[in-house]
Amino acid sequence: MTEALLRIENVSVRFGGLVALDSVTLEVAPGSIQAVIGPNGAGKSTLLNVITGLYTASGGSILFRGERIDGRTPHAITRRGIARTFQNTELFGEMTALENVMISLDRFYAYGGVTAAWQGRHYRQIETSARDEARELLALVGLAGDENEAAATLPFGKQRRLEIARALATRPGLLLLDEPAAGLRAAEIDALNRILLDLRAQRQISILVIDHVMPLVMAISDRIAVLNFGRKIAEGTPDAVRRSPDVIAAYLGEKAAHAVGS
Amino acid sequence: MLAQVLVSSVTAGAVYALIALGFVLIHKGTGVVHFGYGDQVTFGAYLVLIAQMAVTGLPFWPAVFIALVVSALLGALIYGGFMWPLRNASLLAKIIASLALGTVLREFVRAFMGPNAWPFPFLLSQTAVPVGGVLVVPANLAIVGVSLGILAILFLLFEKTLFGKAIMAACDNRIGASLIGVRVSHVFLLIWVVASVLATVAGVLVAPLLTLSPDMGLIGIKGFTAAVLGGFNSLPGAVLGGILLGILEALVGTYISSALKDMISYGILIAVILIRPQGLLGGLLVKKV
Repeated sequence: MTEALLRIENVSVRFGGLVALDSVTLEVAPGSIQAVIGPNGAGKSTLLNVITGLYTASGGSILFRGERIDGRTPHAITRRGIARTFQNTELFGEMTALENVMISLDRFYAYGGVTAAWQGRHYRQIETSARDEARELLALVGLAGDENEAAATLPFGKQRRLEIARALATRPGLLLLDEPAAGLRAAEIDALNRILLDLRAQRQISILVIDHVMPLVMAISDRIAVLNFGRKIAEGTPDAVRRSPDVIAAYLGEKAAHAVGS
Repeated sequence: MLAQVLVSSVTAGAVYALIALGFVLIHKGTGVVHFGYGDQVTFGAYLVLIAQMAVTGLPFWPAVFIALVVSALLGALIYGGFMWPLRNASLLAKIIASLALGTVLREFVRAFMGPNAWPFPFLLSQTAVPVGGVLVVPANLAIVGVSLGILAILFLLFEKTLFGKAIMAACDNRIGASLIGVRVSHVFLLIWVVASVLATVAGVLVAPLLTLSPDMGLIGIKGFTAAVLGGFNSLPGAVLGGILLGILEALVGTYISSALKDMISYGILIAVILIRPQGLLGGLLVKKV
């Protein structure tokens, strides 16, 4: 078996007496789309926050490309190649869509203060290539016509896609998506599905998506893990997970599980 | 006459603009109105005198250079010693810390340099030169020139470079910025260093115009008013606010009464808060739920 791109090993997160994640182990294989589902409060968002360094793990370890990343700061983890989006988006609201993406590219198009002050040919070349790459990413998520709109004024579905473009601008190996389909209409979910499948095919980006909207994760995921009350209660292919009595119990209650099982 | 008033008033306005810019930068970066900033302006000017006392015979310009370096270190110290440890504290705690900081600086100079005013040299000659029917003082011209130069550099940085935009992004949304790989703590350190250096530049420029005493920090209220006038979250707004305040003060001082000159800034402060709280160039704040 090839080495996992991301390996989460026995990771726990506690807030005072509350156990948000209880010894969770999970892997994301290179080039795969891994989903994590579970009811509200199951620990899905906590999982993303601990991977990206916003929370600190109380126990366990997280390895990305074989290197420990738990305990590192969010920007350091981003620079190693993990990007993410948020359920409620964390865009730079007053800036345009294009600027949001270009800022993420800043690291790759560095120039000195003198170059910027001179505003000469070299500066324009760098700015032009950064702008081209940003436009390409906006086109990829279907926002080609919205580049000059302020991020805060875009409809919510487009803000979500803009955040994906901005995350891609950090040139990640792994993209974490926090409930990308919540609040979207069925047609928008289909469009999102296509974007995510394209991403994996064209850019060799692995994806870890958390969601409780079934149509998205069932359609695109290679494997699905199920969290409930901070524990992993099942993992497998979409079909296997759909039939698991534990999963049905977690979502619909014990009675339903018995009804299905009998 | 009017032309003369306008030309003279730009001098004060340029200094107000610098101080306002410091207020806005710190506010953007930390969410705090730094009430000790006026005292940092005073302290910066005193640093020049202290450097000249420490090294006997040190000329003016090297002393200014030392003052700028020391104030950059002071900015780093303020961030590292106060604002970083308080980053998750309540807004009130941060504001009290900024007030305390100003008091410490003000009472430090009172204790070590005495309560009395010190003479402070102008950058250039004070002899007025007639230019096109208007009298221009080279010393004042230098103040305007230095201010405009600094404003231009900051404008280029924040408006024309991706790096500057990343700084603004970090101020706008820390979580978003850290997750695109921006080292937010470094950005805030940079803001404190730049704002502290700005304070010293403003102090060196304004000290000869006013009298350099521990209470010169009251100039801070002028910069604060200019920042409010401009919208408090807009860098161009701060500059516009500073220049406007300088002109208004001069007009009131010349045509109505020089006793009312200082009252005007408090009057403007109240009027702006009542009539247009977002200032002249400030966008309406979009509050996220």
